[in-house]
Amino acid sequence: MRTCRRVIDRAIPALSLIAALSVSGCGSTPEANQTVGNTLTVVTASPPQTLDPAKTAQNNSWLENLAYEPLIVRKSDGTLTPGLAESWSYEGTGNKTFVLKLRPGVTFSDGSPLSAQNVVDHLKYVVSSAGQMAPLLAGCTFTATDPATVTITSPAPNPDFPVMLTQDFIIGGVIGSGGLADPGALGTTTVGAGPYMLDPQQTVAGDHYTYVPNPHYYNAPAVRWRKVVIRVITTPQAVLNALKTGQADVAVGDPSTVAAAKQAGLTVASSLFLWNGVVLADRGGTLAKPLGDVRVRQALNFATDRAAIAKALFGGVGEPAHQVTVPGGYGYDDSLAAAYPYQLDKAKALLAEAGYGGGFTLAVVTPEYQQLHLVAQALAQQWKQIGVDLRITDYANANQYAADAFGGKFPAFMTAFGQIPIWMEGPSLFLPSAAFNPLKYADPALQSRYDEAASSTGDPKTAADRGVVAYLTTQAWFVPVVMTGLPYYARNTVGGIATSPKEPLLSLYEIVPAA
Amino acid sequence: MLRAVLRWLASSVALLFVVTALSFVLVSLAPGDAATSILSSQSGSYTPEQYARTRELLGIDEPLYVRYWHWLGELFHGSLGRDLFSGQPVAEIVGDRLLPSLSVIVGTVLVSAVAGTWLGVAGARRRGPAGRLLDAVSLAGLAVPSFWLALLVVELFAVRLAWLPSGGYVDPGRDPAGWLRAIALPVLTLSAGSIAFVAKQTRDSMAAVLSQEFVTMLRARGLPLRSILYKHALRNAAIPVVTMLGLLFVNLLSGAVLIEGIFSVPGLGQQAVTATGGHNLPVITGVAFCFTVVVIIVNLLVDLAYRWLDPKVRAA
Amino acid sequence: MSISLIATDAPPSVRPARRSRWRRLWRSGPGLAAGAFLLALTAATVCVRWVAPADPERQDLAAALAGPGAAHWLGTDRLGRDVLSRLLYGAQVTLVSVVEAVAVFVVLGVTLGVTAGHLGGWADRAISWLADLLLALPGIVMLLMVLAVFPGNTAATMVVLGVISAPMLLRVARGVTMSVKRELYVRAARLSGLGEARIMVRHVLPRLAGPILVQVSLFAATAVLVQGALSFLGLSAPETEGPSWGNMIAQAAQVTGEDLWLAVPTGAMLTLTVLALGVFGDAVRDVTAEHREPVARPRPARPHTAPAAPEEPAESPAPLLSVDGLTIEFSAPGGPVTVVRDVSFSVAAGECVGVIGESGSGKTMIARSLLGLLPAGGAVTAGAARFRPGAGPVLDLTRLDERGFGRVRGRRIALVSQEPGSGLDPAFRVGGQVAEVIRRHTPMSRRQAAREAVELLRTVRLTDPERVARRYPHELSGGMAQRVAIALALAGKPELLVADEPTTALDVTVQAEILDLLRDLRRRLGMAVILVTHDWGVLADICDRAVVVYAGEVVEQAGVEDLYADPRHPYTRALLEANPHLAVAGQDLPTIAGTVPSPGRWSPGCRFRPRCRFAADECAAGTIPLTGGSGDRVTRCIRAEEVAAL
Repeated sequence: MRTCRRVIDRAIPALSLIAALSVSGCGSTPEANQTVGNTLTVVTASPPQTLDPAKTAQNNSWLENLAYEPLIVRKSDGTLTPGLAESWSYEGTGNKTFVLKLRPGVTFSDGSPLSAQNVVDHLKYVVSSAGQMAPLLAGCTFTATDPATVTITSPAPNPDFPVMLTQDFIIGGVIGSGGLADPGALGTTTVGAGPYMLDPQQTVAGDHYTYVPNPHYYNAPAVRWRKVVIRVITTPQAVLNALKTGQADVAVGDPSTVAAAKQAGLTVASSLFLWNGVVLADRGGTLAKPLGDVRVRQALNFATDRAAIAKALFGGVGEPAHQVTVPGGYGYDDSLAAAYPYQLDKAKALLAEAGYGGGFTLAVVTPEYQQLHLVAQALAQQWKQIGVDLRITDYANANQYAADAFGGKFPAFMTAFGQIPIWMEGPSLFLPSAAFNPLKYADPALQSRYDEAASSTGDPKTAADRGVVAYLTTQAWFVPVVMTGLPYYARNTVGGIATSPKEPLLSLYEIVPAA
Repeated sequence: MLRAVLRWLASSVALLFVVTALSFVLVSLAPGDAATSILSSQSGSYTPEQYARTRELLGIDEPLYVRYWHWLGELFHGSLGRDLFSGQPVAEIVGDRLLPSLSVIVGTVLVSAVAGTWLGVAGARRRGPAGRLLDAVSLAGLAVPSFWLALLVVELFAVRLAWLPSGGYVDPGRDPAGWLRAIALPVLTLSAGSIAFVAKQTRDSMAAVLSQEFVTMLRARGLPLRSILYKHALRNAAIPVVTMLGLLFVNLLSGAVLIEGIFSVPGLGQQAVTATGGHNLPVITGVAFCFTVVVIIVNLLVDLAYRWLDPKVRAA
Repeated sequence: MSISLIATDAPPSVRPARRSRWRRLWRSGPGLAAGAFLLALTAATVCVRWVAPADPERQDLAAALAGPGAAHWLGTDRLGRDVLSRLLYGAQVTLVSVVEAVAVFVVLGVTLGVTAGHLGGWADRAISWLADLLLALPGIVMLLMVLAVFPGNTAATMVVLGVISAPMLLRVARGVTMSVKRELYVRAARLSGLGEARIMVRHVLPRLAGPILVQVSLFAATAVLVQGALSFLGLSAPETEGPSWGNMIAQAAQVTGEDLWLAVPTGAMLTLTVLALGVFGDAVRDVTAEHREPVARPRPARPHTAPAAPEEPAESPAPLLSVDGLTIEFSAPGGPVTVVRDVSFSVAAGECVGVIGESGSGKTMIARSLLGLLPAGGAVTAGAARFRPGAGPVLDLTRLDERGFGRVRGRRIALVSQEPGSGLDPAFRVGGQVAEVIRRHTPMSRRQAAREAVELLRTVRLTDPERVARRYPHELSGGMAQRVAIALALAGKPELLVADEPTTALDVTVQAEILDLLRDLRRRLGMAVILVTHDWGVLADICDRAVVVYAGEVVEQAGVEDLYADPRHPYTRALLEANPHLAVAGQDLPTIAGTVPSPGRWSPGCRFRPRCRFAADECAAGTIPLTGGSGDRVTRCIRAEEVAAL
């Protein structure tokens, strides 16, 4: 039973699975003829360590989103629409000052009203809690310019404040003043302005969380269920069984069970979102000298038979990945869609050119989620063809994986990374400060491309984003292997299960009782 | 009597002390701590200052013995401390999780006791092909790994036949029937081995009792077979079997961990696994404490049953 | 004979000749099969490079999850690797783990157990306390914490498993050591100056071998399961370090919805291995256990099927019981063994008949056969035992089934056995036991039965019967227990009491009281008694007539006084001379040289011949018939006249 490993890993994936599960579409226009369902049971794969939006890991966002309405709502087509904030904009140039106008007449589930000072206190609390998103707000100042206006000033350009404050990154879900007054209780209760609120009486931490409608919610028609239960089931096979046997309506699935879910006649919705593969962290060649040579890194990419792995391990939901993003995602470059075809001769030639014709030994560490340990084993077999001996260290306990991978103990490590805005990706994936760059490798050429993307807007920004990804691809900092979506499974008792390339994450609010 | 009670109390306290101290020491020996666990789960990399601040926030910057001393102090006031991450009182977490675990374990012990005793008595009476078949089935039951059996049982009874839910747990106070259905498959899975275990013990014990002179004398006095088997022989044979049931209960505390995940039972074992992975010391210690208290209570019950069953012990 | 309650006891007299333990293990089919399987598995694991059909790591992504077929006998896994090969290679992990765990288990368990058992005192107390502590530790929590300290380290978990399981072996080793230490030959060895170390090596360790092997095989089964489970949970032996059975099942568990087959071979292999260890352990236990079970289960000897002999026309008032040509056989590996042959005697109503002989002569078998209580494997194969109760039809006790005996036992014929204490159920109060029997035979209320029980206890002259009724058997002295046993026998108001050595286990003064009681009861209740004994004094005390049995045969039958005054059979004579009651002070008590031969080893002709000082050549020729003398005397000796003339 992968239980424990799941439990542990899912607590960890850090930015790798960032925004994996989230809810969007609060404030969607109510339909004319609405039915309200009794109970919606959804399954999430990992127990949250805490319900506190400032401290929780990103992959449990369903739990927070139900109760905490975000400042800005990202709809399933990717557009940003008003949440607690009615409008927002940058002031001046350089993406440094960001202003939010709040919606009037909003109250929290504890009855207290929303105010600008409340939002400022919330953001300060987020920073002081030192949670996952805190570093991205480091150095910012928050001011209540007037009772309905909040101004955020950043020391460095930040083009992604609007995205950061959507439900996808959780911290946009404002905590009521009552909650901020007693932060210790936020781990097990909710004080939000969202459509639902946690019912602690019907909740057993780590097993199931019951949400009931929030009587103070400003947009009552958007509440489509009398009760929403989020169950934690840690084994992918058990998740599938729960759906098959009707114990749950909707679940986030796993690549290993997609084929069986389709066989069982469940609705399966999935859009590309993650890439799985290897982070060749030691670009400086300090731990593994060969990795310091770009030709070696490229050779590894050419020696990877992505199609075979995608077919064998990700049947139906996986596609060969060559870049660190997905089609339609941030910075995707169509011209590099097949940058590294499976060409052993070319790989061997590159290695020989670099002086490693006889091959070399490479140590890699892998967790067990997202089948990464299987991918690693497949790579080991494939790379043996060009003389590379891949030595795999496998940790079921994701804490240990994280400690070793992010602690710079390995020249390379396996990962599954969800695509996020390039500005946010920099400090997490490839800049010298990034966790995924544990050996702090700095590349001025990359830095300048990144800085350009950070301070521009509109089309120039899109082009600059693409430039960053293209650089990472041609410099072969990674070996992306397979890109997948998060597969969602649903029974025919519910409708509205859809994802799109623009919004690969399933929105709980679009789930309605089946007609 | 008073002496016995005092001795029992002293040994129980000593045991709890050893177990909890051991958890503190072992967890502190493990690489990393709760701060690294939180920080790496949140941002992957962190600065020494962040690390120090998190340790301070968590209150794990003090020396181990000081923390243990604090923990003992809190225990004295009836608290098991709080979850490092969610801040939930550990007593509450453990309390929530104890019932599902106990439901499955007690259910298994009951089923095994009834079915195992019956099979054991039957086996002690009948030798020959029937007895050997019984032996074979018993041994097979003991040999099947529960985690493997669980996979097959779910696939068969939940997925294919759709008779029972594939997992989950229902509060008996809310829905007793649902509760029974929810624990049916885990109990069934664990019972395969436990029934065999009890049957084997009962059979051996019954066979030994049945070969005793007093059984022949009971027959000589004209008592009916039923009374001899189920009243006299079983009562005597039950003495070692009760010990075995106690042992079974304690073993199931560990055994249940293996299948809690497969059946998504929110039990103590699952909690132990999660907490150990995250260095969540208060929860680990709480779980260890709770396990030990259960063991102590079970042993006490076994002792009491012993007294009830065996007049010689009662007198002593 | 009817179904037997007891399946474990071979009759002591026909225990097969002691064979080597290991040869017996060889003969136990399942144990042998299990041993062979384990051996084969170990061999295949050690030679896996030559045995496995393929490289366990060789992938074929295009053929992932292929079912069993010619190319891959057991199919392929998710990366297209050969399952059979992985299964064989995976056994290595299991084997190494088991060896590690067992090593710790044995070293710790034996060392501490032997130390505790040998030294005793405070060392014993300290070690036992440690053992209790280890047993009470929450095992899974300990394993999890150790895995947190040594991530993924299988060896560490196996060491911990060995440590927390060692108390089981420790207790066994301690018990064996203590019992060996107390045994006479070891004390003698010590007195004769044999050093402690040599005693340990020569006497203690060999005795430990069997129990250790049993514990080890059972613990090895546990270790296989625990290692599999931890690996299944992903806590040790991850897949990237090579196949293990646990991680193979873990992989299969991910795809049960799609392909259940992948889980089957590995799970079956794991089950078989654990099963084999369990069966092997059981077989070793059976072979080495102190109470040796018969290798072949005793099958009741064929019950006699000859048509019932027509009852002779009653001349004088027919006796209460007439035993006629009673023959009892036991099944044994080499064929049925006769333990009692052609025994005839009769008991009149109210009469007391003694059956006397050395132990092993078959007298107890005769007594028990009358109640249908022969041990497993024994059966009456010829003869009849006609019982004519005061009311109701004549019954042939040799032809009754269990139901038929249900109407006889306790109610018509009762039994008092030799060991007063062990004849009572230790778990119930005396009063309750007596009341239950009373109620069985005479319907009445519980309360009334309780009163009757007290009365009955008073009848057997127990002082303060109310208090005795509230006691448990272990709280009674031997004499009190025997009185209770007699009360229980009387509860059904029987017409015939079979008393099997009722006083042997008691000390002399109590003996006299019990005999006195029996005599008195017999007189008051008009019961007939068959008294089985080896003691002339007892016989003389209450019996009218006596039947002398030797080696399963009646050798002489006569009135007690005639027998005393005028023994006609050399055996009777020898027995009388060996009687302590008749010993002349200051002289050595004569004994009969030799012992009663065990059944199946009886000499042809007269069975007493090898020990008989009157033996002559003609004694060996043919069966010696019982010949009548004056009155109802009979003797089985061709030289009876000469013996009598002495």
